[in-house]
Amino acid sequence: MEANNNFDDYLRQRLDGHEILPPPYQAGKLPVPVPISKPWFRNTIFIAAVLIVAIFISGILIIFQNKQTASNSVLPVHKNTIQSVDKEANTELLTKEASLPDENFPLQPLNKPINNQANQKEIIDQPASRIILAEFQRINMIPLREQRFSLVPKTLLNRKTDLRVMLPKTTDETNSSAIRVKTRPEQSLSAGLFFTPEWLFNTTGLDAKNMRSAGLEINYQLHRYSIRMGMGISHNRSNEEWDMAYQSYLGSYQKLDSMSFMYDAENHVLVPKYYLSDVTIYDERIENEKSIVSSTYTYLQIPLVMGYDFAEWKNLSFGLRAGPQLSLLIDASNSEPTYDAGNNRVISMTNISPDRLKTNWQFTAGPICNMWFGKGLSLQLEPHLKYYFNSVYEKATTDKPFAFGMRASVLIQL
Amino acid sequence: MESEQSLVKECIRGNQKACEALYYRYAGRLLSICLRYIPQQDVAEDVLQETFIKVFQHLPSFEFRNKGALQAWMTRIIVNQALNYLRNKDKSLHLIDLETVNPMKIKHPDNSTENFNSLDTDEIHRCIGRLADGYRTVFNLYIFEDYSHKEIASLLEITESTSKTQLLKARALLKKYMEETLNRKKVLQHYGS
Repeated sequence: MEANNNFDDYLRQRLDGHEILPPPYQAGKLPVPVPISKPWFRNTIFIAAVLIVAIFISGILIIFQNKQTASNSVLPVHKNTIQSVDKEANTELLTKEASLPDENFPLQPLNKPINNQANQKEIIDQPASRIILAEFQRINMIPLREQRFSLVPKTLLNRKTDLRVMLPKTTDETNSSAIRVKTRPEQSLSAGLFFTPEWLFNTTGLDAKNMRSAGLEINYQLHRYSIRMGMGISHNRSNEEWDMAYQSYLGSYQKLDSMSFMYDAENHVLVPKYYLSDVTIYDERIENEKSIVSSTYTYLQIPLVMGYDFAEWKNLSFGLRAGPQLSLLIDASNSEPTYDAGNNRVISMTNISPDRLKTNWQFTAGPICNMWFGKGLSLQLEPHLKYYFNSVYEKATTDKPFAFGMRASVLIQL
Repeated sequence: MESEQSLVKECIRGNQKACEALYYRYAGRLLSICLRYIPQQDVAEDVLQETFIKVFQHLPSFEFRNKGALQAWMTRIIVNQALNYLRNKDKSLHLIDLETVNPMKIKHPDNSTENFNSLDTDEIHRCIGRLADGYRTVFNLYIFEDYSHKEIASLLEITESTSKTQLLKARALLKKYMEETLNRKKVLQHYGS
């Protein structure tokens, strides 16, 4: 036993670090290295993170802008001061201010001359804040050069502190939000188009990780609740692995099949005639080579998504959307590999990638950012996570897939 | 000299020169290992080539842990490649007839290793190459790759006792071949001088 160990150690020692240099031409046959890019998911996560951050920053900016607009348009009224101000004083101040010979004050206002007593009475009878508000709105609509003829002088408009003291609060104004104009309707049915790029996880290494889907959808909104249905087509590129079994070409020779002789009467000799055929020699060993072929799978997607908006502003809302989605495989374009066998003999070509399932259920959930523009037009951005209830392959080679996507849709109110 | 780690990084980036440097640094050692399993030089060179293709393909997934990790990883790949070749070549590699060489007929030579010092490494290599595929495989896996009999048995789909027997026979035969080589060398030296 010890002798064996000695012998083993001796051999290890003798052959340790032994090198036999390969012939130099071997190095020339080295494969050209392909630069390895960063793992795809790092880029995807980065893009997704940037998108989410961008959405929230834009959301915050819009909210901030809305708040600013609201604070400019709504004049806050202090309760204490309202009690002490009466209609006569108010009127007096207004008329007094109006009669001041100021260059900003309109001597001939645009549509309601100040020296008309009937109009003055009409103005006085209305709550002062309404007049001011109406004027604010009107001024905004009049071109700048005409604003000098407005009912309320610019100096007065700028003196907000004075107005706060002067103007009594009306019942309409008690709720300041009543003055805000909501672009978004409380109940609506809208239809539109959506586009969703998605990034798939837990698929086979050969499958493309990105999937694109687009389609039509209908969205019903009731207050903060919504339900969405639709139909879309999604495309997923896949790389399928084919196994090529072939025998290498070694060479060929001419085989003598038969020969015949003819008698040459002139020379008195037999002239042979050979019948030859080409025989190709292939290696007995069957070699295998993998070939990658691109295929496209088309799915029909039918979502049913429920939603709730937890934050609403004038033309922006944030909420959550979740619901199931059915995917039906409607087309699979599998192309056969174009394998250049050269002189080699192809024994078989077999697709060794797993087949796709015809039906698939998923559950999708995520936050939504809903932006409302005028004329019933809205834009929705919805980053979401999609979980697949079953594998997309007939033979589950991987865990159940999941996807991260960003749905963008444009909807028009019907 | 560029460190293993930086060489690997450069290869992953697709630097052709780094790949060549990696090849020249390890090809000799890997070919020597491969020739221990496959004595035919041309076949061993092909296996070496396949090994490097695999190495470059899987280099991004290689985790550099310590010095020598790369060589150990590449050695494992070339050993696997060589074993695959032997399996494809002879589907019944694991069914080697145990009576091919009768252990009784093997004359156990002198156990001292000092005599073999006059043999050069290439000659020892050639002696290993003379062993039958099955003996050589078990012998190499046990002696040089430090596999246990249990691991060899599972790898080659044989029983542990077969692995032990084959190792015993391989060792005895190798000693015999080495002694033969030594004697021939002595005779040649005698007549040469």
